[in-house]
Amino acid sequence: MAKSLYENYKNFPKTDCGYCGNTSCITMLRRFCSGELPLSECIYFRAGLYNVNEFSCSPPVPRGTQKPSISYIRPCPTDADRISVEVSLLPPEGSKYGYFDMITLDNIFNHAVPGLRISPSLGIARLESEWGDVMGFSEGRVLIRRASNESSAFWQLSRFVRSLWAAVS
Amino acid sequence: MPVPGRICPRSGSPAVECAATCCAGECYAFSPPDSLFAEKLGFWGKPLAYAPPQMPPSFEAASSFDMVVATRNRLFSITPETEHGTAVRYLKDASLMLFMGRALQGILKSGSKDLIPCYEGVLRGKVDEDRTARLEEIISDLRKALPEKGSAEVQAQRMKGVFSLHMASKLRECT
Repeated sequence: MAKSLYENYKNFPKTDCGYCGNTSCITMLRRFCSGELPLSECIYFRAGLYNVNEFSCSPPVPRGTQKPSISYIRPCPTDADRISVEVSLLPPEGSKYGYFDMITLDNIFNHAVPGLRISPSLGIARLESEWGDVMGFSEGRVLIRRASNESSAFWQLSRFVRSLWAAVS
Repeated sequence: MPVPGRICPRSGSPAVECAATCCAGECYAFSPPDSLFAEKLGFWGKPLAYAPPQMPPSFEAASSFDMVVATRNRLFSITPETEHGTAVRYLKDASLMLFMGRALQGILKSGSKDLIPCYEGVLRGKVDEDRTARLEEIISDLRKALPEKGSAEVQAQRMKGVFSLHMASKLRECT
């Protein structure tokens, strides 16, 4: 039965050795899942330390016709004095796995930033602060709630997505 | 200026890693993710100047230096007020620290002391195309050797040291 990218990653070597020519194990795994590379490119599989048959994943879902957009700016549902904003960022042309790589983010930030929580299994990152709550989704959707005004909302959005820049894939 | 939407042949790597694989300014990795709503950000004060990263002076000092924290801090230095050119330099700094941290782990775990002078050369920021070529040769030799169960872990760790140093060395050439 096909597993999610994250389920496969949990059982992967995670050494990031570069033997396969990719910059990290997550990139190797993504390429395996999209049918570009066999697992035998990895030193651990080649040496027989890992079993190819224990790994299987669903091919990536095509992105469809997603376009970059600012979806809405409106009063916050729970507080009419504050506003919510949602934007959809554009994954690079040819990108098969959405916008933010939450597994890489989790590896780098690893619960060390106050207020920032990342769920690589769900593909969500959330930053809570006194200025508003921002949620980012792996496919590139970013949502801010409880912002005091529009300019503050976009500043928070910018702060958030720039902090996650490292994981744009 | 980067061209939004373009992607390099190394697609699939996150920006912090892709930044090391080529020097192409048009790579998607160098396009700010907030460009969609840049005009809504307005002016938030004077641009912050680039501040070079604090790197350990030697391999020995690097052994007690937390590259993961340094990488994280570098990434959090990129704020809405950071100009595009400075932001890209911070991203490349973070990439350098990420690969130097991995290289250190690989060298220590495989006991590859022969890589220490190379590591210190990259730490000092010395651009050396011969070093990059030498590292490519070692990578090629390691890939030619057939891995065996008993030695694969050490081979992988040495590969990690060499490959990560190669990435860091290329980054030094691009900045």
